[in-house]
Amino acid sequence: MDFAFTDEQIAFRNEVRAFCEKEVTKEIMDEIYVKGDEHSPSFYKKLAEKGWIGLDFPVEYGGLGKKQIEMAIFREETAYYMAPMMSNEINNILTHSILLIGDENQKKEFVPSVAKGNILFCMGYTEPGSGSDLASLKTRAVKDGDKYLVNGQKIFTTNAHIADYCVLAARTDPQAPKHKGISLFIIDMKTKGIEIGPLWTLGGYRVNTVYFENVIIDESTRIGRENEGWKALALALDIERSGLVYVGKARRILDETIKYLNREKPECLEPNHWVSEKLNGLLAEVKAARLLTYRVPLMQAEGKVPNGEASMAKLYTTELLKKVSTTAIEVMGKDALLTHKSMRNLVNGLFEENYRSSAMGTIVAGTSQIQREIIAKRGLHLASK
Amino acid sequence: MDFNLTKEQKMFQQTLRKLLENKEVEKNSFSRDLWERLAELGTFGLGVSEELGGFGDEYELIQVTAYELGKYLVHSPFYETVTISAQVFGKQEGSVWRKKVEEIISGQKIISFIDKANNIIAEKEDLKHWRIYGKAEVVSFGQIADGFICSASNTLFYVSKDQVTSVDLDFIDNRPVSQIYFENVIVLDQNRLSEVGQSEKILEFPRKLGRLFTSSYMTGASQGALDLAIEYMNTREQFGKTISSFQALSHWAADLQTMSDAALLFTRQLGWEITNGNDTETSILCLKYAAQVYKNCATAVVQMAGGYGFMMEYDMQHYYRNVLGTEQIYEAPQNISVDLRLKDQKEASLLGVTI
Ligand SMILES: Cc1cc2nc3c(=O)[nH]c(=O)nc-3n(C[C@H](O)[C@H](O)[C@H](O)COP(=O)(O)OP(=O)(O)OC[C@H]3O[C@@H](n4cnc5c(N)ncnc54)[C@H](O)[C@@H]3O)c2cc1C
Repeated sequence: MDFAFTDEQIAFRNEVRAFCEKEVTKEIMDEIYVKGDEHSPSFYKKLAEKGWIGLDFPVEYGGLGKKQIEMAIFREETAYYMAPMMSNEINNILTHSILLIGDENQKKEFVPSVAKGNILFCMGYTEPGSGSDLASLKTRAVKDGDKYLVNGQKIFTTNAHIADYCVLAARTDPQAPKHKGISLFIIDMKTKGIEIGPLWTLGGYRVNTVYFENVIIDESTRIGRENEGWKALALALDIERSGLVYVGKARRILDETIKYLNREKPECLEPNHWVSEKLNGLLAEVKAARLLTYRVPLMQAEGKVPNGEASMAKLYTTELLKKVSTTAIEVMGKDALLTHKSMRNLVNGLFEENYRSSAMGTIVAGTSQIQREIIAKRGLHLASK
Repeated sequence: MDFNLTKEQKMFQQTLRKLLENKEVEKNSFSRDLWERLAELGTFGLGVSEELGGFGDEYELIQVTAYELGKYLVHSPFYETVTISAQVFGKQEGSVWRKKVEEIISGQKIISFIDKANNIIAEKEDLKHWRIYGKAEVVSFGQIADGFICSASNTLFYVSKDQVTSVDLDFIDNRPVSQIYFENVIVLDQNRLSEVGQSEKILEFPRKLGRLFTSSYMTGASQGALDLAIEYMNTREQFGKTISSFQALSHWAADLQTMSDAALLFTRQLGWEITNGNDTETSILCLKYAAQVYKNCATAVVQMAGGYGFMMEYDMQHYYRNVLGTEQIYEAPQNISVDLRLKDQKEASLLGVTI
């Protein structure tokens, strides 16, 4: 057994911390809050300069070739600093789909450009009628010679309004069983027939509806073989079920809460005070949750497929972040509910913003209910009949 | 025993519901117009003695009013103005205070409440005057109020809006809140509303009514949130079925509805107990319970609607944003508790002869 990080891993964590300390500035956070994009071009450029957008991409495609555990450290620490990482997450997931099933041309064209920070993807998967049941998606891509004609609608598409390309999941064989008739495409967002509209979220930032009306794309934009998109889509989505982002945020919220109370209401932190009791309980949970999260990359590094384990990590950390966010406000009081715009807010409105956006974790990338299904069926092998 | 509303109470509830429906109330917002219509309905005279122009001890109707306001998620200074201020003014001698009560009942004046947690200081200036200083951080309806009841150095004072500076703040659910500065405000001793150092004594009863209001509001809001989610779950389909057919959701909704029913009965009981003068510590326990139920419901309904629940276009988010604000502004239940040391050994469970 060994619960210690290696010296290199510790050094890397410190490097990420130092970077975030310097680069996640108040100006960047303000920019994000005001524009409502979870993306900061200037911060993203800095990430690219460090090579960290391609942290776990193969060296031959312009990446740093780091392993899952480094990626885990990177995710946890950037989340701790509340860095604007959403676009990086999406790019990472979609680039892995290309790496999994894309052809050599596609890998060469896209992966190094993503690593350099020159390309933003958006993920065109969810549809108005297909969320948890993603495989029921209805957007059609109909083959016509060496072209496809695309018609359909996507929803909740993060970054569609700023992305260069959409990785689109569309049905190419309506007769096949639902998982088997889906293909993936990389579509230039400037293509004629694409229309984008905003949807504003409780988290304060923008997602989109994306309409595809008679959009004509080249066959070469398809990633992998026709009708074989589902596996790559699902495998890549699994990448971020480790919950590291949520555990990083939960740690930060707890740290800031404890700092605030030490300064403003130290009497609350005396042993046996209800506030201290609650925070102790949450600290214990965060420590336990962190073990669940790091189990996932460790298993991946051993070549195992964490299935129930990844769902446990995602379920536990997303639910925990909601609990931590709520409790933080309860122990600090109403001042913590002032927004980033407000005078007198605490830590630039961190607690208020985080409480709102924490409701997202248990919905995206498979809801908590779906994670429980996975744990029960694939983890515990509970019979469903 | 009868847990139901009387015929008259039901009629009152219907009238109020109709008003709120017709007004097409925007959730998480305050409307002067609605405030005036609530005055016309007589809701601000509930719990105020008839002698002062009110409707006497109709505390059960405060429960009904608050529940409906919660269900529609109306922001209003009812707690501050009616349950606290009208009660405190009503305890004072003299025509000035009687007039203030009348102005509250008729909806002309809104009074906000600055509670003791703000550490506002009051010092005797001379025989007839007090000097008040300090700042109150997040004062609900501070920028709208015509005046304030302020707890300073454990003594209550009335301070008019012209004597203080109010700075608007931006709050999670858009309710009007502000920071109120007292820069050496000189207040006449006549405007002292409690014995020196005895603010809690005069606030004891108003606080109970306040808890009745807040817990009933939160219970109404819990039900409003649940109704939304249930409607949504019955129409949304995934995997070829309505999502309400998944036990992960239906059992969860069943648990929440059970709690919401219990909270409704609890708040009705509190209204009844206050009317009958035998509420012991019910108001504190009721507030704690209603807050817990509301938190469970408000977070659950966002989740139950999936991505749609997280969108501003859908109404679930209103409850999610409202819940902690309501809880933390109105006597955060974490910070109050029944003092169990005082309990009679035989009746430590607080139950007594009533349910
Ligand atoms: C902020 C945000 C950003 C997003 N960004 C993107 C993006 O960039 N690209 C993209 O493609 N998608 C994106 N999504 C979509 C996201 O992945 C979906 O919201 C998610 O998969 C849930 O689908 P749904 O919203 O349709 O909810 P539904 O599937 O309708 O779920 C509603 C409720 O039913 C429950 N439920 C459903 N099926 C079952 C079942 N079998 N058993 C028990 N309970 C069940 C769910 O748990 C949930 O509580 C985003 C969503 C959000 C909120």
